[in-house]
Amino acid sequence: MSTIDQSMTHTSRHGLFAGYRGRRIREALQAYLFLFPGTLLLIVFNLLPVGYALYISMHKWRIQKGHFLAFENYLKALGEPIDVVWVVGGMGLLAAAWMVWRSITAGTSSWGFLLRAAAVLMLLFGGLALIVGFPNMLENGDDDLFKSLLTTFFYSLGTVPLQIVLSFLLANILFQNIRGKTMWRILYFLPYVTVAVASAAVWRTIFDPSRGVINTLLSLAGVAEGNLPKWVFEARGVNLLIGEWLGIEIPTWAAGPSLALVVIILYNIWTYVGYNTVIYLAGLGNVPTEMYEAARIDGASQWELLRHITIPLVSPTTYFLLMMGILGTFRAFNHIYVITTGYTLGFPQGTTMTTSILIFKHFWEGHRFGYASALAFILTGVMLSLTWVQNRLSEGRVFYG
Amino acid sequence: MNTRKLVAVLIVLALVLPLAVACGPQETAQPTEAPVVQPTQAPAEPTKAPEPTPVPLSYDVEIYGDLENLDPSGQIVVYWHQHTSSRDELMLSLIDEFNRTNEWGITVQGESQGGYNDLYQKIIAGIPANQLPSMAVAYQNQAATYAVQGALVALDPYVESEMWGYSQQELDDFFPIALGADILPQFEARYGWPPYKSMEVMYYNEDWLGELGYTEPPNTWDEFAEMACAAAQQPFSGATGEGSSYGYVYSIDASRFATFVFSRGGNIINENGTGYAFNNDPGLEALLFLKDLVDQGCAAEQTERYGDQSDFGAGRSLFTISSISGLPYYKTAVDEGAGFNWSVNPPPHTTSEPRMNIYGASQSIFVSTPEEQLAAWLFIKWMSEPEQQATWASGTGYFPTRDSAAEMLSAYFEEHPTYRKAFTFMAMDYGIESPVAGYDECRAAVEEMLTAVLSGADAETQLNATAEQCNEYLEEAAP
Amino acid sequence: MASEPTTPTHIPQVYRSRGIVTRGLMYLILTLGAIVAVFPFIWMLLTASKTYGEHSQRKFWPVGLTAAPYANRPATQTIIVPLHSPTNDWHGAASSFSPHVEGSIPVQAVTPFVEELLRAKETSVPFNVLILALDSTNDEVQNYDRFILTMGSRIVEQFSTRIDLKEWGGPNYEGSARGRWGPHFEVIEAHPDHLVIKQGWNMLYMFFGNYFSAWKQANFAQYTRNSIITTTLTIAGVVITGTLAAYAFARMNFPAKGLLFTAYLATYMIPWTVVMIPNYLIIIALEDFFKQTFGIPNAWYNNWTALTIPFMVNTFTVFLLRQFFAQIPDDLFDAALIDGCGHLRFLTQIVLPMSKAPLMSVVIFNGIWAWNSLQWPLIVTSTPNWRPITVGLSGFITEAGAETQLIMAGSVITTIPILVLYFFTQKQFTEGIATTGLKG
Repeated sequence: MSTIDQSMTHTSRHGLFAGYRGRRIREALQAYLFLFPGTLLLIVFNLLPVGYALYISMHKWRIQKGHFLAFENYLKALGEPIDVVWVVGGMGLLAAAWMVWRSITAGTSSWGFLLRAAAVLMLLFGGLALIVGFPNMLENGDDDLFKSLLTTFFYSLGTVPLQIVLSFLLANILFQNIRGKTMWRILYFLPYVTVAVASAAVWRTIFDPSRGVINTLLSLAGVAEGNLPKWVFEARGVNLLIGEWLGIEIPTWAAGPSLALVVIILYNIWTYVGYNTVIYLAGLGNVPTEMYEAARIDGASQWELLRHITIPLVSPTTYFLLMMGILGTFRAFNHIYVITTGYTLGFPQGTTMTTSILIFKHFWEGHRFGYASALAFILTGVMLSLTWVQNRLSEGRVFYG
Repeated sequence: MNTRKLVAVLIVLALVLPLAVACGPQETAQPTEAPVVQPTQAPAEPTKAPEPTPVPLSYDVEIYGDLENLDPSGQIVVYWHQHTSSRDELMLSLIDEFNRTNEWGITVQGESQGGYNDLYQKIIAGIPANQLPSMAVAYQNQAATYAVQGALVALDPYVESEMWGYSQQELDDFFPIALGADILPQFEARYGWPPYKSMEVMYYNEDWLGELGYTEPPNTWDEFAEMACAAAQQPFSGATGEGSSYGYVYSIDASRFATFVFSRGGNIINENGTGYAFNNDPGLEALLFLKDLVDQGCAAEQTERYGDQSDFGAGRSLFTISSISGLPYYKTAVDEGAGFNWSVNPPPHTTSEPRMNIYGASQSIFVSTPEEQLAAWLFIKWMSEPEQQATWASGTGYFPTRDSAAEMLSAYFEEHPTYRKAFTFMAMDYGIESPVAGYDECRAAVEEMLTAVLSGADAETQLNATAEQCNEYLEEAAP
Repeated sequence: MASEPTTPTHIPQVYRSRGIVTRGLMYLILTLGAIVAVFPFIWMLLTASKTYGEHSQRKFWPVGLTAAPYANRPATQTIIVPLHSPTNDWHGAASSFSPHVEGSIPVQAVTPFVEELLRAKETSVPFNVLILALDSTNDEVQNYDRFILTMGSRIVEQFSTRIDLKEWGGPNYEGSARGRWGPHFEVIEAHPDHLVIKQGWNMLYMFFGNYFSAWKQANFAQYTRNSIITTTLTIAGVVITGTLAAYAFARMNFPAKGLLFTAYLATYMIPWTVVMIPNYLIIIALEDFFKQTFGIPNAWYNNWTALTIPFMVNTFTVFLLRQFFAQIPDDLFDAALIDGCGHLRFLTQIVLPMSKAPLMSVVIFNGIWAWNSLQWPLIVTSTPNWRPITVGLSGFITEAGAETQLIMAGSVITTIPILVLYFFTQKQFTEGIATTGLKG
């Protein structure tokens, strides 16, 4: 095919853009032209602001610019420089150890032992550095930040896996010859389409402890009024509450996310299950049917089909949803804000204070533009490292057909 | 592939960084207020300064111009406020009247910005961008925040101006609270002028009180607790709907806490605005009192916004304490609900006389040109005239800030006895919440403290920690 | 089509479940899931039909969704109402700003439902509804287009509302309960000394009362218009920049392609909170630039430009389309090249017609996002001229306060347009997801 290209350009063009080289230059120029509008907007409204935000984060900036602080805002959040060096270095070493280890499996045998040893050493030192640095960081850094990261982590952990399992289940059922496929799909997708401000407001009224329909149903089911859950108003950990209900004493460190956060988690699941289902359906549609048939002939059971064919073959979808889900929970803002609106940010008692809400709080309540920007960059850093870790972990487990 | 991505991200960031630094000088050159003022000022000063004012001016001519000889004709005043729907309409009709009738041909453009919060956020964003209206509605702590940024003009020169200001007689017509609240202690200057006010009052169910055998609403907190607990034991006969009955359904709110503290003789912040002062006996008593009520099952927290109002209307809460501006809504709530006789009273108190939490946003003027500032002031002054105050008050349920407006409200008083009763509270003793920058965060901290104490945390520790936290915020945000 | 659409007509044999139990279980799970997914909407609709009292008293089913308020309506009648002179003040009020009594409408008939409610209030028919004019302008001119109807004595305020000429109105149209079911008035003609008023039954109002109140109170008409325009413009922009960029990434070779692509990818990670203030400053800088260079004020601030242009590129869209374009077989392109087709023509004449489904996904996704935006519009606009519906709704949520039923009605109004868009495009949308790289 390239011969056709060449002969065409040879006969029709002359000068600078003549020849194969010329065609490539022309294509490049045209590509830049195609990219121009998008990239221009991206630069003006995305990259430029990021640079600007970085600039802000290095200043004392309360509404208006103050003096230059270099990395002081970052250090205020993360503790002493030495802690940061330990932690970042430790994580770097761990990552490097992983990469070296990976390279061995494919690499030569003569260096294998040495490399292996190096990897183990790096792992060791990395772990050590983390053990040394991390407690110090927690000690010297911004407590609110670490608390909010933990909350975000709970939020993510509560949301993403359940969301994925549920939607996988629904998609698998919908993939059978079920009546009214389109109808089900539309119904499940409704929550995603709804305006977040509106649906979060509805959610709030449904879970209202005294007028909400959930508690009305519970009290109809015989739950005494004093025992009705307080939902959004409950700051105690959900494990603690379950323990109380079962009569088991749960230590405070295992209290888990507050019931208020659970309501937000439920909202998130409600919103995204339909979306994930639709995407899973697409993934299932791409699994070649012959594989099932062949496996059936070999006498595989329904469960084995699911385990050995469906799950591996939709793993790219799972990976995609996992990543989007995690990034989504880390960026989530609107619905948390609306569900807790009218109260202090992070209500009740800061238990729904995810990092993005914390950033908002510093921004709009404290007007610490500089510090808030620094926090935002730290959050971005966490997100990037999570993505990196996830990429590493999924290597070899995601099956790209 | 992925490491490449990471590296590339870093490279992109590295590329952007110098760009960002390059933005720096542009931004620093941005505050253009000073140059804008000077050209209009420069010609005015040499010609006019020598002749009429031999007395040294008490204000900065750079900012205010030569006030007594300034001409505000033809100015356009952009006014940001937080009123929506019917209140916005009323505001627009007032503005319309001003625009048609004022002798200088000043045009005011009223622009509603959503709620208080939206308005506040917009101005905060507008300060670095130099994108501000001529004047706006601002709470005292918000005004302090703007003033710290140098965005506001102090109003004292306008108030004192012979040409544009008030005479002593006129000033005496204003309630002390109205004049006192807007002098910000951190600046010792006035940064707002109040055409209307609101306050915290206690709403009570008269019929229910009667059923419980009381003839008078509570005057002290002890009486309040006694009645509230009696009510929790003996629900109102006319209550509608389902659910429990309480003596007091409360909402977590820093202003409510302030009310509790004031009524016990305490203060939220010290007089010169240098430190928070609620971590003493009145504050502690307030916390323990509420906690005690909750523990005994006499009080409960509202579960939805304005839930206290709905519960009051349904006859399920004997008392509620909230802003008097909610009066029309309370009326609806009762009429739609259990339909009983009710009224308002000053919140109970341990001081000998009631001590009210009277508050309300005022009008503040942003730094612009002397003429525009003056024009904004003239509009504020017009809004504060008794006629306009009365119109506004009867249309919204807010309270006028001067005595003479009351005479014009006789018809409204007649139709709204509750309102008339509450109006007499305006002249009572009062506390001022916190006219300082950084109070927003302190409010959030106070509200968190309330939640924490009510769910079991130690009151004294919480109180001290919160005050300390608030003092940090105060120091950080101070001018 | 480059690849199979999602809903394959051919279902793999293996996946056909046989047992009735299994099938029953599957339908059960689907139904439960659907109930959970849809319940909040049902709750929203139910609450939007309630009265304030019904919500605060925890009633599950609103009376408005039963037959009671609509049954046995008395006949419609036309009444001529003489108007008093403006000096006849209401209850002897002395000043010009207090409302004047203009006249009173004798009400002879209400629906049985309202009669019942009135009985509970110790009121009965006939009664008079006073027409008050709030003439705040002091200009001696009566504004006949603004009335406040007030029903006598003790339930005065509850029954006050405004009626515009030639529009239905009546006691209690501002959201509260009883009056919603009548009596209703329409001012047919307004004269200086008398009014011609029709008393009748506005069924629409009776049924959709809360929606009308919310619509009127929050000025949703303008906000909806704004949202539709800005959303459409944003979608158009995203489609144009997205197609071009995606095509370049998918089908063209050029230096620094990887780097540029990674830069696109990186922007997805940026939290919005970080860039909002800088973005705002950039908009203000652009505003200044346009004002000074071209003499155009409000080119950005308070205009649709600031609401749409920053969002006219969306990296997610670029990825999505790129995946699809990359799947287009090379042969097609080669064939087109032989016909003398350049990239642009290949894109517009061959690629785009093939890409209806993925484009539809792009439209839906960006439609949802654009429709949802809240914080940014608040900052870059200061007048309702271009403010979107979400801003209207969130302002209304604050304004309506305790009146949850109005908030829910507003929420329904806000959601409907985007739902309609989804219903009409859902088939292509689903197909689009299936045919692009969205799944991983």
